[in-house]
Amino acid sequence: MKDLLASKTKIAGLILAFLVLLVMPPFYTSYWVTLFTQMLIFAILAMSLDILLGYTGLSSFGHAGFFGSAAYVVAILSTRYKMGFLICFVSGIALNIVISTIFGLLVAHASGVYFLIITLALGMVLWGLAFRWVSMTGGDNGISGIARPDIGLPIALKDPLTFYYVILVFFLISLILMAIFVRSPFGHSLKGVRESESRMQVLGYHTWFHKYLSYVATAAFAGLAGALWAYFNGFTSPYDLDLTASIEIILMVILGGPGTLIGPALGAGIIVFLKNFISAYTQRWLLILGTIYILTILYAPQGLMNLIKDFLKGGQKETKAGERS
Amino acid sequence: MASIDTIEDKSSVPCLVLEDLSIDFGGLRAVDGVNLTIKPGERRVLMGPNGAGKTTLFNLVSGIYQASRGRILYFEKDVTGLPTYRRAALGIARTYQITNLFPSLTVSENILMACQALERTKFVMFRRLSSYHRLMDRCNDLLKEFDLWEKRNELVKNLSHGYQRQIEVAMALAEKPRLLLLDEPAAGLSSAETHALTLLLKKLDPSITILLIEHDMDVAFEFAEKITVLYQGKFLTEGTKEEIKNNPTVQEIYLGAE
Repeated sequence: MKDLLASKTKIAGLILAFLVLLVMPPFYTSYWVTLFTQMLIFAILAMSLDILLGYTGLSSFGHAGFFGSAAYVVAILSTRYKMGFLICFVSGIALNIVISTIFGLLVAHASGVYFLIITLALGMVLWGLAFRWVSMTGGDNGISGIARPDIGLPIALKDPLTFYYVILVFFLISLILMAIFVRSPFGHSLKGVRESESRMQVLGYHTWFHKYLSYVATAAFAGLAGALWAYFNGFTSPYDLDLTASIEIILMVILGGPGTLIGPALGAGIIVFLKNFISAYTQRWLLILGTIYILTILYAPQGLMNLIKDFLKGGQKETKAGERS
Repeated sequence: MASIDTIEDKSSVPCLVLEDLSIDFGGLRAVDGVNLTIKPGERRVLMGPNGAGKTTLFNLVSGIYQASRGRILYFEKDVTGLPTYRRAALGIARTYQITNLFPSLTVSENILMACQALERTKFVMFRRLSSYHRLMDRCNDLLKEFDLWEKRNELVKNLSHGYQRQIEVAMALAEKPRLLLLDEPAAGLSSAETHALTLLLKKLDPSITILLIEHDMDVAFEFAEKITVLYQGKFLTEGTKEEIKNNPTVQEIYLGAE
């Protein structure tokens, strides 16, 4: 019975997602289409952090740094050097891979709070670059005027709905890639690192290397989200990669349910929606964010997705995420 | 079969040699100049009261700690400075006295983690683990062998202590080790469970060299031909069951004489 309920819920969820994301958008107002585009980009970003936070068990306070630096690469290359979409897009991800292979040498030794602190410091380095390297990044003003790319489609991407569907394709590709990634032998080894690093070493895993690769993979996917964000927003600023942005991403993952991929995507949707919705009424968005954070920790420490899973399993008290912290 | 052949070829070469092995923690010398030679296929029990340095010795051999002094030779190869994962790749496996598993993963996921530990495929990122049939088969064999088949989809943290101890041993054996370090595998088990475990250990491939830490005299005496006694980090004595039983010093410090 319980399995039936679980599979029914799964099918219902899929149908709902299919309707909301694929069928309905032409009937949305352009405000909602734009909002959904934003949700999908942040969903990719949140899923990328989930690989690190949910699967490898490392919480990074500098994830927005990767998001932002890819956005800046796209911004600089497309506005200053008039590069095409493909070069900008690939460079954004490539730079993140380069940065993370260097940063990774420093962070992969750490775990727990130390990982948090060192990623925070490195994230601030990237923020500092964006903020202070005025001749290249425009400093506090950021870079504006990033045009929607021409990727050879017959219809212009200026149209929000077309752009939305392009982002949806990127989202689905990322989701599939990451879903295979976490179910791969390597993804399996990351769960082991999360659960007991000492046991992994005794089994014969060079855990440093696994953490290192996981960090690089995470950065690459964050770069993908960042590059899309630059095209979506048409504008980048240091606020894309500051500490608040990093914390927002963490909240998306924790709210949605670490270690589930779909959960963080859901979390991203909720946070982006609330942010847009609430900031229409008040300037105090961060206050609301803090409240959500506290409520999540108090009432759903394992996140929404795990809450649903446990509910479907029927009263099995699991505190997955709570124990991981 | 190849690994067994090489062991037979090298039967004159000791499996493990410890030379003057020592480690200091601050001012405390937890293991102090221990010398030990273990032949391939030998079953040896390490005994000694609390604080004798047994587990520390295991941590030195498996590479958790680095020795302050002395050498560790494994089939004549100096492994003293090698990191833990390299020693595991050479065939040194161990279990923990305090259960150290992957609590939020299922039993079969735990076993799979051990099965793929020494495979190159552990770095494959874009193919599903479940598509590696050889690994899955090996995992299923182990699950059946260790009587864990019924429990394979349960989370390890939800299992009883007895099952968890069984998984500890199953994971160590999943890697087909040549040297197996068992740190009190029967700790906290009921007498029935201990008996089952002893039977299981006796059934193991005779080519595997086993070093066993055990407080339970019955288990120890039943299992090993030779027993080494440590006391306060130092080698005290070694010998057969009878010799150890009748050794007055051992009786005094370990069994608590009048």
